[in-house]
Amino acid sequence: MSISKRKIPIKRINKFFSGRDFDLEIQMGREAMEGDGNFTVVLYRVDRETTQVDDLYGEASASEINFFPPVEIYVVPIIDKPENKTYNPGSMRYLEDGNLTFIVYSEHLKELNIDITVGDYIAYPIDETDVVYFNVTNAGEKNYDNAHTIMGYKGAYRLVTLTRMNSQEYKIKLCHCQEVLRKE
Amino acid sequence: MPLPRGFKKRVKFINQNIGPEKRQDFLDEIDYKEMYLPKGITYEDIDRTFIDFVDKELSLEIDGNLVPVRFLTIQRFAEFSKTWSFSDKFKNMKMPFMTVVRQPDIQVGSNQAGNWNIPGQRTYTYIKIPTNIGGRKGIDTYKIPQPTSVDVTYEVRFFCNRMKDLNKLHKVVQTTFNSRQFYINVNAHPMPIHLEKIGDESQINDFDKRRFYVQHFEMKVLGYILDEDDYELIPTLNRGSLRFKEE
Repeated sequence: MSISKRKIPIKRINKFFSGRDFDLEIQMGREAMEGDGNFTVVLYRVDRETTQVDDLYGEASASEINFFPPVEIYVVPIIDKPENKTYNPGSMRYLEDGNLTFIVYSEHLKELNIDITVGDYIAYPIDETDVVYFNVTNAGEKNYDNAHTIMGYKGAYRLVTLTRMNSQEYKIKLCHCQEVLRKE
Repeated sequence: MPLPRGFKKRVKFINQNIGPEKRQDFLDEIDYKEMYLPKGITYEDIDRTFIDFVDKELSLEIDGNLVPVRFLTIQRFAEFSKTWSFSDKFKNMKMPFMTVVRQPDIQVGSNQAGNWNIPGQRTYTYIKIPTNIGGRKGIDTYKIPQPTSVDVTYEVRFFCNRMKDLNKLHKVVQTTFNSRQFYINVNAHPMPIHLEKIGDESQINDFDKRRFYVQHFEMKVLGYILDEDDYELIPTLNRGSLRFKEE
């Protein structure tokens, strides 16, 4: 991947579709997503510089992970159904949350001047009192495949995949998320 | 008669101990300089020394750059923290690189040729040190438990795009282990590493996909752990001092 600042004009399908059409499509999409859908999640980006990690394993406990200020973002979420599982073979049953997948417009992230990285955390309010937390496993940075572009013109949105976190990782963060949601 | 050119008049011999004296040399290295006890060993110490071994002994330079070695655990954000400096715009690690993963299961050790410890977690006299406290002479006995043997297995993987680079690493690895084992010093305790297996996980069979080489080296440290909290210091002999007062 070139790091050149040179800009290459995108001229494909310009008889039918241009940069202005692309922007319009995104505006309409965002209007539907943000105005009508209004699904939001809170993104906790890990501050990798100030997080206190073990110098050997690079691991950190819940209280040692530092975050940038939480940001509320508009998404289209899809939560898989939970699975009935057992820790032991045949005993100690638990209900494992399904994975969360959401769609977010790249333009929206650009406006907020943020990026999503593997390992960041997401809080999703499931009702008025409870919040569940997920960990990003695929931040969907490569969004230039056909499915993530508008008519093959340019990458428009990102598909982010997350998995449920271990409970000891998110205990301290519940208060942060509720603060962000209360501000609304 | 003149001596031929380059003739060395004085040859410096290195006096190397053998037998029990050599064993004593090892013990002297293990002891703290300022204390009389060996330094304890934890799993972290073994991991750290193994990483140093990969970094230093298996280090590889390709196209003028040192191949990065990364020790990975399961926290996702930590992985990116360790790899970002070698990543591209999409946060993908750039080849070539090496990874080290420790197998979570630590097996019962074979360091003592499969022999078991004496039951009861007893401690044994390591050294007796004469003391002199306020004129009272005595002896302190330092006791330590038997170390617990453990086998720790590591998976070292090398990812690259060229056979030439692969050959370079194989040469280093094969040379390092050509006498069966390589010794590392974990807190000055010598422990052997055995090269257990060399595997190939190269992605080369599917012609229509990205192809690259992955070599997998399974290495086992035949080590032991020693907990410093289990050490004992027992004041044994203590000569009483008798004083007489003359009236």
